[in-house]
Amino acid sequence: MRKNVFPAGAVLLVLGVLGLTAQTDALFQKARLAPLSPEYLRYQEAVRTGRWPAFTDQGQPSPIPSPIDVAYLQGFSPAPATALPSTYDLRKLNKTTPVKNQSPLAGTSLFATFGSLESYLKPLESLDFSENHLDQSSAGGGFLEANVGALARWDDPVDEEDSPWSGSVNGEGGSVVKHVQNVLFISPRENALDNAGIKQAVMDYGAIYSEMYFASAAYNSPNRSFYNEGTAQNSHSVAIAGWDDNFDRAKFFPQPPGNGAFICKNSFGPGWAEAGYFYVSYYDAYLGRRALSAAFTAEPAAGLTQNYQHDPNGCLARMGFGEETAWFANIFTATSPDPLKAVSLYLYAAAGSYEILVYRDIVPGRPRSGTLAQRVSGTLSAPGYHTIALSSPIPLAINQRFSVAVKFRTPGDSFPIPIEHPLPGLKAVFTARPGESFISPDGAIWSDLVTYDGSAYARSNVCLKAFAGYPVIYSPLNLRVERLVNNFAFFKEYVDRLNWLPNPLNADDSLPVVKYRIYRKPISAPDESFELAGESGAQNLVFYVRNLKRDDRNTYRVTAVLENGRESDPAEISNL
Amino acid sequence: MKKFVLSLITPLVISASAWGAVRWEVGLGAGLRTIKDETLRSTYGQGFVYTPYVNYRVSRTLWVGLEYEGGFVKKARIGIFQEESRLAVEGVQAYVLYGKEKGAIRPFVKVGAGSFHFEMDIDSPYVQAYNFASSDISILFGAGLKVMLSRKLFLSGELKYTALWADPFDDLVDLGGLRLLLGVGIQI
Repeated sequence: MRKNVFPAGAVLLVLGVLGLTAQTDALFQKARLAPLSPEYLRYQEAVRTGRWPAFTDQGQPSPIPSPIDVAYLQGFSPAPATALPSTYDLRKLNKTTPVKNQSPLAGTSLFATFGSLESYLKPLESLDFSENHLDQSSAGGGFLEANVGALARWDDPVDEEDSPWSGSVNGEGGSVVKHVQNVLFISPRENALDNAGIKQAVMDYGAIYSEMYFASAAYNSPNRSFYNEGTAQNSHSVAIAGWDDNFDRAKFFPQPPGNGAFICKNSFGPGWAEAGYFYVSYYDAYLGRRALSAAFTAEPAAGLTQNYQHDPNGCLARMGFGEETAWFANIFTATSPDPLKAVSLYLYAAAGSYEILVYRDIVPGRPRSGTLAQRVSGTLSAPGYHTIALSSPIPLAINQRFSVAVKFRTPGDSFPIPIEHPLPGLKAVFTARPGESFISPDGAIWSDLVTYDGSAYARSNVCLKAFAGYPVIYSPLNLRVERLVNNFAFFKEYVDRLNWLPNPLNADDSLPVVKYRIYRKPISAPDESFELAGESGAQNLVFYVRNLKRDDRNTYRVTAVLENGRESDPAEISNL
Repeated sequence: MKKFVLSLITPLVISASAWGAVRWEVGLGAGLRTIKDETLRSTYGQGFVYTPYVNYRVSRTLWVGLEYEGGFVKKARIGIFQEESRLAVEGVQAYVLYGKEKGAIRPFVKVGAGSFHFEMDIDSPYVQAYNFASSDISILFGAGLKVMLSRKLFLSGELKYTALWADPFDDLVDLGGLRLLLGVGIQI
């Protein structure tokens, strides 16, 4: 009797599995890619027919347009938190950095990107990031997502001096000085008066990356004004640094229907227009309307130490199962004992809700196996690249396999899964390996992305990063250096006096700043030459570098050091 | 060498003998000195000096002399960081003195040259390389009075300026200054 049980059970099991599979296929659509943007499709067609590169008025190749279609986001701006002023100018608030000149090359998206990021860090930090390096990192992408991808993978930003914009894109030096963990996307303006999203972002974050078409005929030189009624040529990016609701429409040529202009920082050098800035009419057909605008933010590089990722090129496409909800996951192997602190993903919808699950010691190929270490849920209120902190650090051991799985719901959008995906016409290198990125309609049945749908995603990865490290330590503020002469009558000792302010963001009483470290190097020496000059107590915000010669010129770095020995990013200054 | 010394001394002894009396003076002066360099003056202020001397009469009104100046050793905090420091200046000068021969009050002037030794120590790990001891040539101009208390014993008052420039490093420092000295002496 017992001999007959096994064959019968096996048959039932096979039938059950077949039935479940059939049921799954019936329940869920096959995942598919979101439509590409019309501009990108035109670009692809131009590439295919050999009509690319198109050139701008200045004879420079037009940048590649963003492949992601965001037309459905048009007009999805959250209501401003407070009444917006009629005029606002970041230049008057010490929230802008010097205007640069892109000549002799194109690359306006690079300048607009750092126009935004540098502005975010002002006035506490006045940094100058390298567009040249970002150009290399983003594979000359020239569009928002390529820049975000390079920054999110921690290849940028580096200091301008380490890779200057020399007119030849060959600089790859320097080390990353900030971590870009959040980029707020601002939905395209629906009409000329749909400006609250951009304005609120300018007030909250600083200058805003925005795209337009720079038709030369639309620029009115005497009034430094610009109004493009509808000439879609010369793709261009600027940083919006303010606005003036009362900017007279008579100052534009031709005249728009109403007053009002955004104050835009261009990349034609400080000698152009109003010290490099110009006024773009609210009624411009393209500024902030043809693509996403963005507010770039950054945090000190001292904090998160490990960036576990499979999507070095960033989010270039989206996919979904025809539902607002989808699951995606990445499997990583720990390369450091630093605990897992955060997870990042992209949201291309007006809002989203997430449930993040972190598993340790998983079985290869099964992202939700092993031990559930943490479950975090929450909502996102704006599109963008978001880093979400875990509720508590998750210990990891070197070589320990772990996974991050996300249940993501994007109301009104059926492509919740952000992916890195090779598209014809992109210059970046795409690679993917089995067993790393997974998608699922329900969190139960998972598919390896590289083998999903034949070879369609063989070089695609899920855009889901995991970050290990420690709480961020912020750099000292307002670092200054002053040359003093210590007169001993028979000789003079030259002294550099450094002083700084504590960063109020380092206010964790359980792990206080206990001292500051001061490093120095000759001003012309490479960064590797920095040597410890000394330390000062947490309350002693001054340091004297003594026994200098009259002609000695040094660059100094000051870091904050916590009780556990961890050190902040340096604040840096040179004695010129 | 002996011949050389004898050749110097013999004419003096002979000439002194010509005046028929012992014409040595031995004395000790003491008083205040200033330093012209502003930094040193503001740091260390005026100082006490003492000057033992010996004069030898070579004619009715002319003397040659040798004096030592010591006692100027000052400690003070110096520089931005107010570090402990010590300055010491001492020197030997030879001079020619012209003075009135007779009377109870005998004014005199003198001019000479010498060598001063000076030291500076700063108690700082940063500038120890600059602690030094050095010497330079000085020039003196002085004038004063001798008040005869008896045939041999006298009191003296003297105002003297010693010019002394020092540059042990890059900076030239004026260590010169006035001395106001009171003293007592005896003619032998």
